[in-house]
Amino acid sequence: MTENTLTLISFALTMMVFSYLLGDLPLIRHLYRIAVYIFIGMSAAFTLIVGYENLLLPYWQDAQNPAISWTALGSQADIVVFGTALLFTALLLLKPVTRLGWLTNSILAVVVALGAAVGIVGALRGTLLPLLSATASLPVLDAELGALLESLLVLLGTMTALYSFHYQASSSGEGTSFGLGKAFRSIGKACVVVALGAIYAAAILSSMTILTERIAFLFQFGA
Amino acid sequence: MKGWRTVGASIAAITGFLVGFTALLSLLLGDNPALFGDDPQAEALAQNLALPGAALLRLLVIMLALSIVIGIANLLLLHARRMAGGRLMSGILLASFAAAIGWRILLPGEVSLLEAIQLPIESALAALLCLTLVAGGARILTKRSDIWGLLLVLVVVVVLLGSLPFPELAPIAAFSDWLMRIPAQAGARAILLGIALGSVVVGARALLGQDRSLRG
Amino acid sequence: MSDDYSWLDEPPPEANQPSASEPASQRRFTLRMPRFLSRLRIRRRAPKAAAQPSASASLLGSQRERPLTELDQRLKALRERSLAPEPRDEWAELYDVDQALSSPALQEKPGGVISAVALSQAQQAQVDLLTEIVGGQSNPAQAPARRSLASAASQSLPSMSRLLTVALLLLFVALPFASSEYATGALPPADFADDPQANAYFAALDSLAPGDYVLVAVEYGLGAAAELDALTDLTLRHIFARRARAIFATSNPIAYLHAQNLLENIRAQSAQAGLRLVNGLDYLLLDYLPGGALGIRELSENFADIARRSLRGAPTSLPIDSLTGLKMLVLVADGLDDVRNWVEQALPEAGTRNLYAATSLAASPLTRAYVEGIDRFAGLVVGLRAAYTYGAMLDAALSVDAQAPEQIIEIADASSSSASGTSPLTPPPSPSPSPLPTDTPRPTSTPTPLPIDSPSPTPTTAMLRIVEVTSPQSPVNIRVGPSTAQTVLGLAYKGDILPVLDASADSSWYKVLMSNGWEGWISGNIVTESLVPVPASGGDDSASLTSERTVLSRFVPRRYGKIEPRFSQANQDPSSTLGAIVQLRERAEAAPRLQALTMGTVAAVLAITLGNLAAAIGALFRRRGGRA
Repeated sequence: MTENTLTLISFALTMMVFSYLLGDLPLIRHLYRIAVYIFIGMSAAFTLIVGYENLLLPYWQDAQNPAISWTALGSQADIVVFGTALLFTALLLLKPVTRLGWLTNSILAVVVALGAAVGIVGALRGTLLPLLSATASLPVLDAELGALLESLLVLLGTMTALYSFHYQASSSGEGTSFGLGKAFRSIGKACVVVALGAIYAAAILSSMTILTERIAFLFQFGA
Repeated sequence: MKGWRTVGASIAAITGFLVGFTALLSLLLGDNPALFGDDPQAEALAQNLALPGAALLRLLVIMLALSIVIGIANLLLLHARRMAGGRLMSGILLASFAAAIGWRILLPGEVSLLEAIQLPIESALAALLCLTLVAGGARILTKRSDIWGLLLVLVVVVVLLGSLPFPELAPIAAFSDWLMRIPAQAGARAILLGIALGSVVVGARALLGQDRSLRG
Repeated sequence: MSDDYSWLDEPPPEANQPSASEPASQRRFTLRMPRFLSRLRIRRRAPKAAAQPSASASLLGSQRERPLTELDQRLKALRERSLAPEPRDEWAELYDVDQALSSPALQEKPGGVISAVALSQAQQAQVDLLTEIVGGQSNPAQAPARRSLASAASQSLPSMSRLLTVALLLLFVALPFASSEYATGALPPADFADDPQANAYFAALDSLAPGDYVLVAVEYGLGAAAELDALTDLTLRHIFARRARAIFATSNPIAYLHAQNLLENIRAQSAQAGLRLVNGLDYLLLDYLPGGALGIRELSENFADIARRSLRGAPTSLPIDSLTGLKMLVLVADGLDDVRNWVEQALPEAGTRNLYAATSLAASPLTRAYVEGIDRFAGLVVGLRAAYTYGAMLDAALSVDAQAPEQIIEIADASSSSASGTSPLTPPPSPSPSPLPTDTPRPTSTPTPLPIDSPSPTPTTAMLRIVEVTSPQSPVNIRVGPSTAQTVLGLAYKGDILPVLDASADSSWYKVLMSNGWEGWISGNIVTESLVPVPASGGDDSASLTSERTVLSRFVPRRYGKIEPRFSQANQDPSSTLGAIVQLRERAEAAPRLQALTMGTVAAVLAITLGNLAAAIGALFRRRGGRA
């Protein structure tokens, strides 16, 4: 296919998606859906292609290759692992068979537990420990007053925001207490709302960047 | 029957716990000889500790790869049925799937399909999101006319203004910068910590079999 | 999608509640969250859509509930975008074990465009994070009826105002393209003056040494390509221009294909300049990592194996067996989830190596909190404007001169380059224990092996000394030095033909030129030596000697006339030669886009201010009316 044909297709598809803005007009309303269905079909195809070419096939070839082993356990272990994965996946498909419920549930439990282990390790070592220590460590020494103040403010904001999370979690509905606790919660909530506002604005700017690219493409095509 | 179910659930919970705990220990302690002293033996121990975690992960990853294939097969079957039921759109989906696969088989290395079809659609859809977000942003106070709603609107407007490259808006940009640096950062950090804390709590519950999904 | 402008609507509130008709098997998957966490969690949308982690906060739940879905984000996106209602059927029952396998058509109501549009899960997460967390906080008592900002708005304002908003935005964004009169706003500066994080990003890449390995995680979908492609492209060119090597990794299958395309583009342009980027040596695409966090964790644990497998047997000098062997990690992402996955699953395993990120604007606020808080998360560049500045800084750093590419490339005499042993981009691996024995006496009988010093090639009758791999055992090794104890540089296959640069005194080892320009030693026992006439320059006789089976065979004599260009000794300065990689990039006219972004932002500010002002005034009037 020539460059021009491809550009034409790109243009048509862009317009089909944008036709959504025209709302529910006869015929036109189908254009958007056609584009989305094409998109879904292609996404599925590309996912399958990558999954097959870059996961299943190489893993399978590896497992068969006696010269290669990815653990110290030797290539026999590879075949065992690959076979186990195959078996487990097949068994998961048998879920509707009630009698085998314990088996599929056990496999599912393995999957869930592995995911949990990865999540725990990551959250602990990747986020919790570093962020908590960063929050707690203040540039007390040889810091300018301004920097110190800013660090204190961030610390205060983080702590109060966490407190407001905690408070919401441990009490149902609106709080009834007043005083210092409420003030802290308000500070924390304000920090979270500011963060969310910043995220919202950033999301607008991000998607607008993409909008400009599409509009630029349309103009380029028209020119 | 109920007794069996309990036994089954127990098997599942115990299996999950054993495997998960092994993986957890392996991931936390493996390949970290510093934990066991400083000699070659410790290094070997650390390496061996890392093995089960790595092997279990590999198992899971292959299962994930297989699940992709099954998931897509499911998608295709479903739409094939729908197409048989006379729904044209499902036919379009199947045709585009076949086209992409065929393209890859017949013209390996040819990339234009991705860049000429997927990219425009996905970009255009993402561009629509901009209109949605702005329209939603214009109605924040309609939804929540309280102090927090007002704060949200103000922050959105200030950050947007702060991003504009006009020298006249420098004071607003400075204020926006301050907002991002102090309160927004504190809030964001709290959100990140909250997510991580939640991760650990939910993960621990799943490991301990408190997750209902494992109880059959 | 039948009702017009439903794209502004979220599903009606009742869709958010688990319906009574929800099958038991599905309910089983409902995770009971700790209460404080459930507040953070995103509301479930439609019964089936509830399966999707629609925001970062819920990801933690989903990760444990449905780990299998983690891998194939695309599938989730597919489900999310399913449009039409469809009765539940046995197939779905069969697969509800795992939401990744579940049918995409079970969502009972169209999710409106917020769900239909959000192509990348990350973008969806951004939207949901906002609407949900804010909604939940301000109104916890009404949790079941929580609705998004957009949905509430759409019900209380006439659609005329939505039309106006959309028209205003489109008009403002389009104006700068239509007429330069509306081009407004200053272009980004030529350096990151007061942004220490962006400066750190640039400085880190600029300080790369030849041969350093950089892991480049490309984690954005095509929807964010318009914002992040430029940064990815510049980052890669920067890495290559510093003669470092890029190892790509991604947990997004579409991003894998897209990264391949980006790389191919750079390769093609570099080839025009005579710079060859060789798979396995200058770059490596790691196989797609399924399962998001899980896949990335697997990379951390099994790096060497994944790298080996991804090579598919290509020659390499990859000496690293874990993330700690890298120089640094670079992440290009459009969502917090990807950032979080890499920060949590890879960074702690990378020893003392630093992570640098290029993100979309949408992902930047939360990412910035990470960068500020984690020491080894050391730099961040954000968005299209940063790409503009980055390009300017890169040009300045490499002091790209106006030399035309043809002049930059000089073909050096192989005999003179043997001392340096350099390839265009890939220096020989440093760990080689002994230097190349460059002082081996050249056999005098050799008819000038590679007389390439004539810029205007004249027909020549020179003979080229070659070896053909004849060993029945294939492939065979090409080594750093003339001994089996030396490090293996690459592989050759039976039938491959390699030009000879040199030989040991007893011809038991030959020094050969590899396809990527490296020089290595191959044992004389497994090759047959011969002399072949060199065709007249430019002649493209389809030499029968050609074996096209491997990359190595690209060096066959028939291509002699345009044999791999090498940099002359005098021209080894990367700032003047490799700068071509940077120089040759497509310089799309960025100014109109940035100006459109400025105009669009103005429109957004107007719309948001006016819309909320109207709402506030309306509320005041209502309140007054209520009192009266």
